[in-house]
Amino acid sequence: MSQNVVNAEVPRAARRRRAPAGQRLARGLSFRTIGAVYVWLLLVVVFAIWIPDLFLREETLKTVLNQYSITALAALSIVVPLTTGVFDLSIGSTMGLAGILSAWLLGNTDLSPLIVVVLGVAAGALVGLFNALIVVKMKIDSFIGTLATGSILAALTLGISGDQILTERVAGGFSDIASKDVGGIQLPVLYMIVLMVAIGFFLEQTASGRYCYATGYNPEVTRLVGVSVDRVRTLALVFSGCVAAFAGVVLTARIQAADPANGPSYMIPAFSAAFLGATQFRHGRFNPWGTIVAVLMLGTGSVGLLLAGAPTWAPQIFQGAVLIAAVGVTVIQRRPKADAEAAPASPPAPAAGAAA
Amino acid sequence: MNAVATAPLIEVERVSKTFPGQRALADVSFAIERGEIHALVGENGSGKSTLIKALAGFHAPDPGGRIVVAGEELKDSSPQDVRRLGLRFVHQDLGLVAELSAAENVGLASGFARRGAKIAWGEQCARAEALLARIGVEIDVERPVSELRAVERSAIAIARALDELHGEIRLLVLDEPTAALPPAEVEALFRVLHEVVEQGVAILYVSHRLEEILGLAQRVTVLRDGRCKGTFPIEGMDRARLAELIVGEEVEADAAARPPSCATSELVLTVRGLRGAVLDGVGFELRRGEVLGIAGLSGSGREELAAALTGAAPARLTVVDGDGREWHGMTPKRAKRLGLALVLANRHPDAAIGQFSIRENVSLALLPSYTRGGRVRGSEERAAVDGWMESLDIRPHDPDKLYSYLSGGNKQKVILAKWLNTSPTVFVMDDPTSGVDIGARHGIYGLVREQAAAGAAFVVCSSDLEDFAGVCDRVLALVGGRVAAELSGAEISESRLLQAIVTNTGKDA
Repeated sequence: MSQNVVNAEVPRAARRRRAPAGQRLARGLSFRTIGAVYVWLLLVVVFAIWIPDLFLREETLKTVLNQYSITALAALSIVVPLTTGVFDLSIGSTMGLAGILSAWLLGNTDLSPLIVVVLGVAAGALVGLFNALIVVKMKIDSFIGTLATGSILAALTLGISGDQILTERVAGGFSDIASKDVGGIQLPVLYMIVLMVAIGFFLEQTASGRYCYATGYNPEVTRLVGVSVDRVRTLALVFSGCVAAFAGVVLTARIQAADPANGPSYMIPAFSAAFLGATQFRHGRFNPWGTIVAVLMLGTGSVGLLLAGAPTWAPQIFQGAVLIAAVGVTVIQRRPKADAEAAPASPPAPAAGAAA
Repeated sequence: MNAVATAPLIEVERVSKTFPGQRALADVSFAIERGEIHALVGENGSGKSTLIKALAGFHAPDPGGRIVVAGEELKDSSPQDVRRLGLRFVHQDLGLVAELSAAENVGLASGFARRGAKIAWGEQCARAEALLARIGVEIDVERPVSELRAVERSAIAIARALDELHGEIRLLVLDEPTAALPPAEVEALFRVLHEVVEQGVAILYVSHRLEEILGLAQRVTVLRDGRCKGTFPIEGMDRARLAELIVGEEVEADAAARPPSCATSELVLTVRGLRGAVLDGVGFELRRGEVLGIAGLSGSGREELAAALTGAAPARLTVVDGDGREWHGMTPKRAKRLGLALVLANRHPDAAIGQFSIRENVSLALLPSYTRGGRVRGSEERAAVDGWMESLDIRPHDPDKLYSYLSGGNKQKVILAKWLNTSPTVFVMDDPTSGVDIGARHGIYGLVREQAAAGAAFVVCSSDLEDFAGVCDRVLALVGGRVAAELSGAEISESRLLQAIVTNTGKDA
């Protein structure tokens, strides 16, 4: 037991008043807490019955993991800014820029692949700083500010690429970062797992993580306890810039080509997963665990539908419908007991205005 | 026919109102005559707001009481009925949309002038101008009201209330109309009110400002602890007598409980030249173990002082800390370093984080000290929070309960625990007892005394005069952003404080 060295005035008789373990387990496994997990299992059962020969194979699992690990990286990148009440709508364009930049560096210099990755991520950090300048310093609403920077980044991307798909030197050593297998699992899946655990640790186990949530919920309270809210938000934006850039570099390595049109399509799935994830595990708080479950759930459904022979546009309809259904069910589930139970009725969807 | 004409405009007869566990109004009877300005006074919690809400149809009085308007009883207590009978209300916040113009604000309340589906803007503006002209006010009705002077906004709210589109207006109820007005504009408002009375409309004027009431009203009704203490003519009334009627006999028992004077202990804080939006050069000294009260009406700078002193609101000031070092200006970080803790009222939106648990709120200001190797040690955090929950008796005894589900008193304790946890040298409290029930109130007083005895100093800013007697060693009365009077020891009584804070200027104190 730790000694209380912090405040001598605290009485010793600090008895545990937490709910019994059984009750906590029941609460933890309830549909209200992990609805998406149940929906995910339901999907697996449905496809297992519908197309058992195609679906119940090891490759299906690998396909889902490998294909959706990049979406997962994109989704994880925005979790931290969202906890601080800031929307980073530029992540898709940041992915595109970093992807093109790395391909351009490979084709026009003889830097080693590792240096190229580092430079790509550094570009993301610069994007984050630029976003912070606009959102934190100039106090422009993050919803508008990052939409604008996203547009500028997309233009830069097009400029660097010359509207071409870049492929020179992209295959080979560089593409290893996205295609090497470790025990049958591709590296991007490992990146996803490492990042999920790291973000989870940061948000839930460190003081800075707590300040992130506090900033998102009430920046003034946070400022009054002596925390620099501006610094919290700046670092959050730099973080999302770096992770999004890394996702973009990995994407280029994976498809062994850099298409200037590639990044932006990841923005909407990323936000869907982050918001759906916020309804899971942590009762309305943005968190990496729920975000990854959401990505996997969306991935399983999409891959299953394609395996079952559905048209190529079906997954997108599926993703939209599931997002509405999953969040909707959670909201309805929580509504009648909102007063009795310590759970907000909906994800705290930080109003765009809160970010200004 | 004749009987109706001579009967009072409004008769409140034996009106009581009981809320669960609390009787807000008990057997209140009074009458308002046609065309008079009738003042309604009473301390916070005396039942004024409940009475106004009963008049407005938001509360139905308990069976047995009734409200009669021009001979017709207010039966089903609905806002529509009240409106039909010609009662209009202007609340302290005026209810205007700041970004919209006067013409638009008038339209929002009583409908827009239309031509087909389209708003007839010319006609709408003319209508707003005509309403304003009736009370002798001329302003640009197309400008956003946020760009107008405070008194012009008040005039728009009043003019809008007097729109006779929905029938004859008989009574205008004004709730603290001068609270947000700069002193220079109060006269202008009074001219408007005299115009209103000229139209044959009676005014029920609710205010804390005794001077205004003495200068404006013909009669005054006094409420104390939910009971009507009578209606008195203003003629022959003076401030001291009115204050006595409002406060009642003093409870002298408090004097015995007063902590011993600490005039000899060392200084922990000196504040000089505190200036903000209203504050205009306030200064004081604070000693170890001292409890300093800050009293004042709304608009006196009292609401601003706590935030200004701790860097939460922009202000200019010089502070000298216990070691004699001088600091210019204040930020939350500097306040934390100097050991100044801002304890906001639980109703204040920035007092705590509703979506955080009790534990997360209490530990927020001290997270780094639970951190070992980058990780917040859950066991240390929990032990500290459990300790505070125990010693302050925060309920429910569940540190993971969300703050927003707590009662007012428990919220206040959580806010206190957050700062107690940081062991500050000076607690700056803002309205610590608002929205707190009587039991919790005494709990908070006890805590303040206990901490003061242990050596902490307190600055207690409060709108509730009851908070000062028995808790404070000294009280500063603020008027117009300056210290108008200082009371200490046995001088601190509700009636003397009330008299001190209602003076017009700081000169005669």
